[in-house]
Parts: sequence; structure tokens; C-alpha cells
Amino acid sequence: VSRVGRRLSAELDLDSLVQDVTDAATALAGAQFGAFFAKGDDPRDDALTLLALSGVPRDAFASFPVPRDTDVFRATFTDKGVVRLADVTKDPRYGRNAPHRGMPPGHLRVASYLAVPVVSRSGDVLGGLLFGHPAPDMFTPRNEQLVVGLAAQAAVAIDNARLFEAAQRAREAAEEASRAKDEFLSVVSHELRTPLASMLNWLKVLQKGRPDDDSRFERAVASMERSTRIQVKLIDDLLDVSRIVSGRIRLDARPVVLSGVVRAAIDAIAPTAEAKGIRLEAAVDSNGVVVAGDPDRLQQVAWNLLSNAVKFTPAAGLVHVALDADDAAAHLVVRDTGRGIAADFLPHVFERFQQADAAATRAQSGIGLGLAIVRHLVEIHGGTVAVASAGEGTGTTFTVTLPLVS
Amino acid sequence: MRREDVTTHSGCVLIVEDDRDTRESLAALLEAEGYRVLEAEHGAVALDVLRRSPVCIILLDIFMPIMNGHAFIQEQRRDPALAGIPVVVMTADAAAAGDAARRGVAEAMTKPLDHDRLLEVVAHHC
Repeated sequence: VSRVGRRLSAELDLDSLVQDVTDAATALAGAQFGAFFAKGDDPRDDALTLLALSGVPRDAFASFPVPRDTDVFRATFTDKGVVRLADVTKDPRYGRNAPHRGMPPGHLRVASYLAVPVVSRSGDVLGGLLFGHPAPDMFTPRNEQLVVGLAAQAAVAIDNARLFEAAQRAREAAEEASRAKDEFLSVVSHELRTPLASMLNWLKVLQKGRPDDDSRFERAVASMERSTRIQVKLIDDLLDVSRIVSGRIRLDARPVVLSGVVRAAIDAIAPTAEAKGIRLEAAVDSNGVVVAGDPDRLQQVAWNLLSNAVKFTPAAGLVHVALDADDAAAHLVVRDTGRGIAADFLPHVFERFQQADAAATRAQSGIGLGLAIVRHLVEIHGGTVAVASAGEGTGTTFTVTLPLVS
Repeated sequence: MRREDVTTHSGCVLIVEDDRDTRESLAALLEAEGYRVLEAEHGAVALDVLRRSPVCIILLDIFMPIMNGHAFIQEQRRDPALAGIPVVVMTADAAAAGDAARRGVAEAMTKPLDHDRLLEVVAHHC
């Protein structure tokens, strides 16, 4: 037993560990066959899983359901101690439970029966070792003692293996979070430096004197202005997300005529859409669609969705904005004919720092905060935002629903 | 600018950069220094340009769509006619600049660029 025990304490791979225990215990018990049934990690779940079999091929039991709720079997997993029976079929608990009232037809013949719970340090039943023999009266107190000793060592080993697995999962989660943070910092740094790079380049050009070429001078000024605005927007988004994370976003809430907010956002994005050769269509119901909210934040929602649509729609594409309302809610729908979103990325579009493209090859700038901000702003207004796309190349539709002021 | 300030250099510089503002401002800066400048918005365009026009140095961004800077360097080194052209990697990501430096490029610079250093490196090769 102690030789097997030493081996067990070195064994951290749960599956092979359980098989080794079952094999060793079946031999020590003098059983024809043995099985290891385990409870799940969740103590509220009493389902059992057959983890290992010894002495018989697995298909000898494959057609039987795990017998979880019979009086004989259940005792082992509810901390009732060892069950050792000279002939299980003669036990008063045997055969009392539906549907089979005993072993189901085709089951290996079992007379001698020995079941030993495997109990963790903390007193939880981790599982049970069960042994059978077709002849009666095969299991002696000495067999029982050996198997109980092995079960105790197996419990320690299983505890260790589970702790090891939990530690590994925790470490992997921490490493993943750290990778995501590094990636985010790298993207933010890149996006903040890029507009600075062109501003400083133009400044260097202008320091040498005003270019003879007027168009170059105008380009320099326009580009510097664009870069400045891009950077202001980035910093605003970062500050917003920081406020969202710490729950410090304040709404200056009042009744808002939504059509005015949506029109203002459309006016703001129109020059960008035009410059990119994108048609911008609006069907905005101007009849008093009134919601309670912060007009600046609601305009930010509309603008973020529109700018996202324009960003991911190629030249000659279409961005369509619709605002209407039913009895209870206003619906703002922004639909584009752009690149669309792959099904596996759809669930993540509203998560912070998520962009469909890897940083090294992406075609679009940005730090992946716009839609996360949209979702949060909509939700603190008591609304919802949904995304739909039939896949890449098929366009995307965002729908914001906000409760009307009654 | 006053014409007499402009030194004329014989060399031609290729800028490979996807961000239009960065690319055009850098081109203007180098042209103001008297260099001829060619522009490409990603690695694949750059390879096309290089096969038509000889240049004395390549200023290369790393994060670009279609063909990024790393992929471009691989392709460039595979072509004996292009492999000898010195490459200056310019990236807004310090870690990417470090990677590039380890790949044996002529110079790896972070954006915003140190203009004095950039002009020194370009003058050395052109």
C-alpha cells in the first residue's frame, strides 16, 4: 500500500491516478472487478461519473446508466462509511429501488460487494471505490482494511491533483489577463503616438518656413487638426472607460427629444462619410420621441455607432440610420453595408479592448472602446443595444432601444 | 521655404506607412531636406515600388494591413535584388521596435521620430 501511496503522491494527472488506484485496489481486495465513481467539483451536484474500471473491459458497463439513487449504492457517497457485504443480493437494502429493483439485466453477476468512500481532507466525499465478485463471501476484513488505507491515500492524491489543477487554471487566467493588459497598453500607446508622430513631422516641416506650395501648407494644417482631434477623442474615450470601470459616470438627465440628438450626430459624421464616398441615409421620426437621459451622452451613443459604421464600410457603401418608436420604447437602428462581423466575434463586440483584427495587421485604427462605451451608456439609460450581422461581408445592424418617457 | 536652404540629395527614400497623415508628413519633411520620396501604404505596394524604382533606404512601419512590416522584411530579404537596401523600422510600439532591432535592421526608431537621428541615418545611406 505504501509503495502505491508514494507513487500516488507523485502523480498529478487525475485520470491516470484514478486508474492506478482502481487497479491497485482491485488487486488488493481480491475482487473480480473494481470501479471508481467520482462526484463532481460542485458539491450541490450529486451526479456521479465512472472514472475508472479494473478487471473488466469498459463496455461490460457501457450500456448501464450510473446507478446513482439506489439505497445500496448511494450510501457510499453520502458519507455512511464502508459497505462490505458477503452477498449483496441478500442485503435488506437490495432491490428496493425502481426501475431495476436490483442489478439490471445483463449486469455482471455480483455477490460479494465492497464499497469504500474516498473522503478529502476537508471531509467531502470525492468519490467511491466499489468492488464486486460473483462468488459470495470473498471480501475479508483484511481486504477492507487494505482498501480503506489505499482510499485514504488516494483522497490525498486527488486533493493534491485538484488543487494543482485549480492553481494551474488560476495561473492561466492570470496570464491571459496579463496578456490582454499588455496588448491593450501596446495598442493605446500606438494609437496615442501615431497622431503625435504626424503632428511633430508637420511641425518640423513648418519650422523650416512656410512651404512655397500653398496646398502643402493647407494639408499640413488640416492634418495637424485631424490628428489633434483624433487624440482628444482617444483621451475622452479612455477617461470615459475609466469612469465606467469605477462607476463614476454621471448623467445630466432630463427629457430629451431623441430626433434632435440623432440629427446632431448625423451632421457630425456627414463630412467623414462624404470624404469616404459613403452614402448616409436617415429616416428619423421627428415626432416627439422623448426619452429621459443626458443629451450629450445620447449623442455620443449615436455618434459612436455612426462613426463605427462609417469606419467599417468601404467607399460606395451605405449607412442607414432610422429612428422610430412604439408605445413603450424608441428604436435607433444603424445599418451599414460594410464588412460585417464574423459569428464567433459577435458576442464580443461590446467588450472593452476587443477588436476583430489582430493589432499587427489591422486595417483600422482605434483602441476598441467605442462600442463598450455605447453599451454602458445605453444601459445606464435603462435601454439595451443589440448587434446583428449575417457574417463577414454582409454588413452590420446595431439596434438601440430606449424606454420612452411615459 | 527659401530655395537656397534646400540641399539637393541624389538619393530616393521609400516610406512604407499605412497612416496617411504620418506618411505624408514624413514625405514632406524629407522633401524639404532635398530627398526624393516614394510612398507605399503597406508592404505589398512597397515591393512593387521597389521592383520598379531603386531607393537608397526604406523607412518601414510595422503595424499595417495586408502586408505588415515583419512580412515585408521577410520578402525583401528573399529577393537578392532588394536584400541589400537598408531598412529603418519606425513604430509607435517600443516592443515592436525592439523586436525589429533584433532582426538586424539598420535602425529601429519609436514614433514620434527623433528627426535629427532620422535625418542622420538617411544622410548616411543616401
